[in-house]
Amino acid sequence: MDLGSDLERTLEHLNLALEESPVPEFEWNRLTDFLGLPLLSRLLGISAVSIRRYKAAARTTPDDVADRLHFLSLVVGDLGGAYNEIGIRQWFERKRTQLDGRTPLDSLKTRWKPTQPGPRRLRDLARALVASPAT
Amino acid sequence: MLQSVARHVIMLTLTMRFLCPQKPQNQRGFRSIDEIRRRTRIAPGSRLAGNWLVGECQWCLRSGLRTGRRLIEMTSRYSGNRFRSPGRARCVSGHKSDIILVSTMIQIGSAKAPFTSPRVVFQAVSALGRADAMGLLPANEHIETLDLSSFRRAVRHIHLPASLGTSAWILAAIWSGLSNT
Repeated sequence: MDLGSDLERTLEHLNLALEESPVPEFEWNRLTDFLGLPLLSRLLGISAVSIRRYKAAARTTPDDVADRLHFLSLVVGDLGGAYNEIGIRQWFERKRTQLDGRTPLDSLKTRWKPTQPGPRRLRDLARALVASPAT
Repeated sequence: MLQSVARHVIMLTLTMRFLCPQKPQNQRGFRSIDEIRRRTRIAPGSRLAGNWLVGECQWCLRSGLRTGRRLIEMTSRYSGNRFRSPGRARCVSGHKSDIILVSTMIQIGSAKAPFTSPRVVFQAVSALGRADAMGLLPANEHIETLDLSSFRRAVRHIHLPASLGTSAWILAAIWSGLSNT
């Protein structure tokens, strides 16, 4: 096996590790900085007050919220390859033909789960932005 | 392809200052921090650091400013039995503002071997972007040239062992992979 394949496999492992490991204690701060409290609150379907509490570790982040937060981190990570911070925020509120004319925000209904079709389509859409320059 | 890669960016946190609409004034000073909080709309949870009251300003939260984080510092000196606000108690002097964190993009200017294959670059850029968005990279981390040493340096910062405990075996594979490369 050549050097490139070895490295590619190693990086795949790293990506897999990141993808499957929610770390809310880090993600709250970063995503709040990126998206701002109001938008993050709408995306996660929880109140700003709750976000503040989870962020300050005054309350443990529930698993389902941690899952959603991690999902958003991955989406934002993918969007970072194509947009700046303002662009990322706007991306969530712009209608997309790939989402049947709906906004990514609309695809995330209350108490959504990352495995649901809507969020998965949104994820694929963001992922395509990273994939496009490399293929 | 490299030009496309060059457009990819890593976030760097910078601090910028903007005006804050909050300008409450109280020439007589305040009797307690609670009074300051009550009368100036500094959100609960603010704390006193030296002569500064640090917290979030509720005016700013409602102002429609698209800020990632609003850190308000309010001047207030304690003298006698009152917190004296020279002229005013306000968000960092009212005009001095809140501090807004803005993530800025650093361009990857070039890519060196072994990051020459599109698939390897794709995986590397994905990993860095994700780690950054997850808050696993330290602030001010940036990569100008994507090569093995700069990538290794960035990956070293990722708090994998502590935070990704269940993936310890993956971590081992990653490190051995990067070392052998």
